[in-house]
Formats: sequence, structure tokens, C-alpha cells
Amino acid sequence: MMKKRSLSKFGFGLIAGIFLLQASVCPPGMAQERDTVKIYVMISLAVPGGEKVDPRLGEIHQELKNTFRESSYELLDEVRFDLTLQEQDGKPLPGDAHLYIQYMGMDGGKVNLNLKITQKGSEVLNTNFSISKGGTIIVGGPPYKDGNLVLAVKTAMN
Amino acid sequence: MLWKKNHLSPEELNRLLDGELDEARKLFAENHLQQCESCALEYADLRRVVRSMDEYASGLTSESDASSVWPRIEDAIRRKSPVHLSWKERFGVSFPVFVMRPALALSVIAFLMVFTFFVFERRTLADNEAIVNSVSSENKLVMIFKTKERKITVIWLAEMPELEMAPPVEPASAPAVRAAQSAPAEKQINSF
Repeated sequence: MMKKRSLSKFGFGLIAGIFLLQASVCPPGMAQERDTVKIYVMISLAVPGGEKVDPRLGEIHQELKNTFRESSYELLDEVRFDLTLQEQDGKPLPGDAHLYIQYMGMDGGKVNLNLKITQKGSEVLNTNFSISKGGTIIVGGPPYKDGNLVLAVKTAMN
Repeated sequence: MLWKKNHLSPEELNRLLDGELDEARKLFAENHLQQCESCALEYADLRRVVRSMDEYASGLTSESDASSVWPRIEDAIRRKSPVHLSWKERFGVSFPVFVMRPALALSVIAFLMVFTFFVFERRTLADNEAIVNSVSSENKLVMIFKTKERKITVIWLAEMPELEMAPPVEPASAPAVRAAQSAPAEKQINSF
């Protein structure tokens, strides 16, 4: 009788242990917060007409070309932010605009960011988005010169 | 007499085997056996039992042999009857307990691992993917779309179209309202 009880206790312990191990190890959704994330922003100018694409735009140039066919693209600037959790950093954009970006944390292997663009005192854009490894968000539209600014936001995890 | 709706009764089968049926019944029973598989099988079993009894009875030489006749007949019938096997025997596997229990425990553990994986798993973005959780703008129209090729998410800000503000409508005096009501429809539309 005693032997049976101890065996069943051992069984319950084993099952509970498996649950805990599984919960702590397997789910990618429970990834720990990263200390720092690297955010790359490519700032380019899209001008209607023409099909010229700045080769420095790298892998996204084809994507831009396919998406907005009637535009030519020129890379104006490239910036990297190293952000810790909840840290915000910014960068002045051409055309009297300003970019703010904040690292909000990680969830399920993806980086959550807040991005704001202000122009002449008003908030042109305020957005929260999540990017997985290799994902890209393109923010476009703020007018500049004869075209529009296009920002390509990518992340890399430390 | 037919047994259980169009079948021959065991008694009738016995009498047929012993040759005790009259000619008409015998003919009927034989015809039925040719057509009814169920009765034919039952009759065949009966014949086999009787034949076994005859074989053993004919081989008896002493009284002691007689006492063992029935067990031997039973044994012979069992050997000839269809055998009911357990599932283990049927599938040709018979595992001892010391193998079955760990196998069962491992199956339970594997099930729990798969189950907990799905319980604790959250939806994760695929590589090269991005999703917009919220977006707002004070003075722009915002469009969000995904490109086909590399699943790039695009947030595009467009100029807000300027809306023409209608001039404030002054309250009309009673005669003016009456005049509008009596005017033709085209004129009413033009006046507003």
C-alpha cells in the first residue's frame, strides 16, 4: 500500500516537473526581454516619375520599386538606434519633421516599437508595431521637396 | 416447423440427422439447407459433433474409456470451433507488464509534452514579418498594407482632403418657410 502511494506521488511529481520544464523551455512566446535592440532606419526620398533606385537602399529597393512603380528613390540618410527597454531616441528628418522611436519590449520573439513623426508641431504619425527577425516596416508619406519621405525600419537583436 | 422465422429448429436438425423426419419434411429441410447458409452451418456443426461422438464411441474397449469420452469430445469440438482470441493474441503481440507500463508512461509523458506545448505556445510572427498594433495621426490619412513579395508592412500617410464647410444656415422666417414649401422641387434644391 505504502509502495503504491509513493509511486503515485512520484508519478505526480514527474508530470508536474514535465509541465514546468515545458513551460519554461519550449515556448518561444515567453522569450525574455532583451537588454538592447538595434533599430536601423533608412531615410529616403521618393519622387514621382522615373524608375531610378538608389543602390544603397539594398534589399528593399526592389520591394519599393514593385510597390510604388512610378517613383524613383534616393537614400538621404541611414541611422542606427541602440535602445534599451522603454528608451526613446529621435532624429531630425528633412522637411522640418522629427522622428522618435521607442523600444517597448519583446513579445513572442518580436520587438515592439513605438514610432512617432512630428512635423511643424503636430503629430503626423503615432504608431505601435511589432517586428520579427528580419521584418521591415516602411513608413512613407511626409512631403519633402517634390516627393515624399520614406522610412524603412528594421531591427536586429543583440 | 421453422425456427425463428424461416430457419430450421435445432430439434428439427437433430431429427434430420437421425433420419427421423418423414419424407415431406426431410425434402423441405434439405431444400432449406441448400438455400440457408445459417442453417447449413448449424447442421454441419451438428454433424461434426455426432461424428466425433461416433468415432470415440467406436474406439472404446473398456468401461474406463467410457468416462473419458465426453471430455475428449469437448476437446475435439473446441479444437475444431472458431477460436476467440484476445486482442493481444490476435495481433500477435503479447508484451509483459514490465514493458507495457513504461511504454504507457512514456506515451502519457509524450502526450503531456505535446499538450503543454500547445497550451503555452503563443502566436509568433514568422520571419520577415511585421504587424501594426495601433496607429493614429492628427492631420493625415493613414493607409496600412502589406507587399506581396517580402511581406513588408507599409504605413503610408496621405494628405487629408480639405472639406468644404457649408455656410451657417440662418433661421428662416415663417413666410420664407411657407414660400419654400410651396416652391417647385428644383427651386428648393437650389435654395439649399
